[in-house]
Amino acid sequence: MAVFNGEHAVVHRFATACRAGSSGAIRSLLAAEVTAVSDGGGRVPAELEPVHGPVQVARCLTDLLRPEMALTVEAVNGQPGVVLRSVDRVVAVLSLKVTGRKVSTVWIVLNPDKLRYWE
Amino acid sequence: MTDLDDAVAVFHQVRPRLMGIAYRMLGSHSEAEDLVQEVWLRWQATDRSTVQSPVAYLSTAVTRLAINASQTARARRETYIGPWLPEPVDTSADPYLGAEHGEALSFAVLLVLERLTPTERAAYILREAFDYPYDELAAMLQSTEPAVRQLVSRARKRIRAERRTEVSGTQQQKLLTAFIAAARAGDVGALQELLAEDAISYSDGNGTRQVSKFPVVGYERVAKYYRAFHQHFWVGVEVEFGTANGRAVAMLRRDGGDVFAVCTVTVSDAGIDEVLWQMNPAKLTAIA
Repeated sequence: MAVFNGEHAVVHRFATACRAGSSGAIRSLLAAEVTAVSDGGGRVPAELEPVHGPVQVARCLTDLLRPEMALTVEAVNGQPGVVLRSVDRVVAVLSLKVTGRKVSTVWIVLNPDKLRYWE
Repeated sequence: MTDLDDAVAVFHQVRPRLMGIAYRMLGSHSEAEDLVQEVWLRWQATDRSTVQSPVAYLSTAVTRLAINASQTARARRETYIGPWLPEPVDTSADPYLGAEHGEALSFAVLLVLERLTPTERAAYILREAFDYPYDELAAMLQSTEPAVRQLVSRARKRIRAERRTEVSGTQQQKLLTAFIAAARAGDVGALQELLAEDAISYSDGNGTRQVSKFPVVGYERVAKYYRAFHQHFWVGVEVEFGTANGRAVAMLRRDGGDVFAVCTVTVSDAGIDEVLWQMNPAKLTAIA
């Protein structure tokens, strides 16, 4: 299997768009029927319902991003995902479902209890 | 080497697999660790001289504990604030998630597994990620081999349906048309080409002659099944394509008579998942 397949490339483009904090660039990578699901577990502010559509999902992502955050593409549950770090702390782990050339689902884990194993 | 050293060595070797099973069952790394710890305590207390296969023994123990734990986990998740997602795992760093295949590890699959019964989930994980043979699975899940095959097949279908990237109506119609042509020709190769690996053929004939009472499972068997009766079945049959319940159907008439059978297929990226036949005269009156 090619390490750098199409899906992987989409995730890298997505991470780049998030690093730039560009809502337009993020939107261009989202499928029309995209959904974002956030798990804050009541511990940190997070959307309590899934968010649908490129505009809403892009906003949900830009709300999360801060200029000081470092974003890296890492192996999350066997697939390329995006890890957000602030100083030395993991703030969020994003797992993505890519359909065709677009991101169709973004799962955002924010609950600190679930990020204990991420260094 | 003492007996305890030996127990430690065996456990250490099997541990990655136990973590892999428990994590996939619970979607939680910390809960998985607790379970594996529990198994270790049991393993220490066990008369290990009577255990023939430590791997089978330990994976059975972790599976049963995980099935119990998922019942309580489910109850707990009902009061969880906001959506529940699995605890993400760094698969480049975590050596405890070893599986023969990376199956059942992605968020998409773990979330579908959440919606299955714990036993279905266990059957799928042990089969797909860890390649356990069906007879061993039956023993682990205190069930029978055919029942376990059913569990795995049901779970696979749910996962495939979820993965389905909204297969269009045109695609379903295309596959149905191709299927009818291949069935009519008795072309095993073409049929196998169209069918998904664990395709099922169901017929509702309500005891009418010529109709199989049992579902036929697996693309090879389904293809051979259609080949077996293709010659006499299709004599004098005219096929008309139409729509019923929002999907493309094929309506069959023999010698210009009433419709005696309606066939449709459900499809996914993998091809035809199900072939459905309605041949019960009482249920065809609306169409004929």
